[in-house]
Amino acid sequence: MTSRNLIAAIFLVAANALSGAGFPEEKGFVTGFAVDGIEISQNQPLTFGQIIAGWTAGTVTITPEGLRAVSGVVQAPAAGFGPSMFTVTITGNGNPNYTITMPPSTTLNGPGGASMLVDSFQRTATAGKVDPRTREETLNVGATLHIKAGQTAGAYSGTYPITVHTGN
Amino acid sequence: MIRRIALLTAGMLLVSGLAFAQASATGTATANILEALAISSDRSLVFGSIVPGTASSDVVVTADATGDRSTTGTALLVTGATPTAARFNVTGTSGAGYTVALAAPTTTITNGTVNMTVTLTMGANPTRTLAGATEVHYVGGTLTVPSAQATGTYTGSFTVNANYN
Repeated sequence: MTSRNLIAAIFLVAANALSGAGFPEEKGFVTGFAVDGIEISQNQPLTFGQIIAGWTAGTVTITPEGLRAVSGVVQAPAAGFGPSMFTVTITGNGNPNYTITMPPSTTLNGPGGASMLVDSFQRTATAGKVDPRTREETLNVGATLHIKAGQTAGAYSGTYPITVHTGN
Repeated sequence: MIRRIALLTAGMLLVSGLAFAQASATGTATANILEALAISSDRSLVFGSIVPGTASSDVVVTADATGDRSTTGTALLVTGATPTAARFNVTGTSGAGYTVALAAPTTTITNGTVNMTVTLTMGANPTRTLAGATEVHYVGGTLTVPSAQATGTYTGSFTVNANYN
């Protein structure tokens, strides 16, 4: 928001106060002030779980629905895994729709400088509209992990940005 | 009135500016690469030397470190090769759970001409958590020796699989 717009808004509120109920259309502007806040926070990390690297490269994909698919010769024991879970909140009473921007890829880092690529981020297909009453929505994110042949054993972790936008 | 129109215009610009908001979060992602499980055998299941009895007899070797031998029938258990349970060593990622299992419950041993059947017995605690060092598992069995079984040295093999849970 530019400083010029901020000043205009103050004038507008002042004008409205001075003129009483004379400008019903102005109420919308004042209400608009509180509409457009949006927040997102992660409740649960994207967890690929326990994986055994094979003699050739492979992948493990976690879907937003929490399913796991393995390709290549990588074995993945049935231990805990799951998608990232975010809560998106839109404050105010305005448009409940929002859009989501996810990264193309990120890197998980492990022991001794070893790393793995994560790409093909996918999100809950129906996400993008908060519940009109609670003003919240749970947004799940999955992705594909690429495991190299003979990937070094150990714990790997990394981060990725996710951005949500309001507006039409 | 002119002033009011100007203010309204400014207000509309303001609303269009405010209508776009965004927020970002940092998602975290984790994975745990396990050291591959390895299983190897360094000792065979040995029933030792047996003289067939007057009726079919079962000879049992227990699935533990002692590999005690006994029979339920009239076969004679005589001195010869020391009876032992098969021993398997499992290595992998410390702290990970795994299970060993027989690929088949029975196996056949042969002297090249005739056979006998061994019913295999997995030792205690086939499901464990790797404690960092090697985990040891034993496999014993029950050998059925018919009364007129041909003499000879009988051999065969069986498979034990280990998988992370």
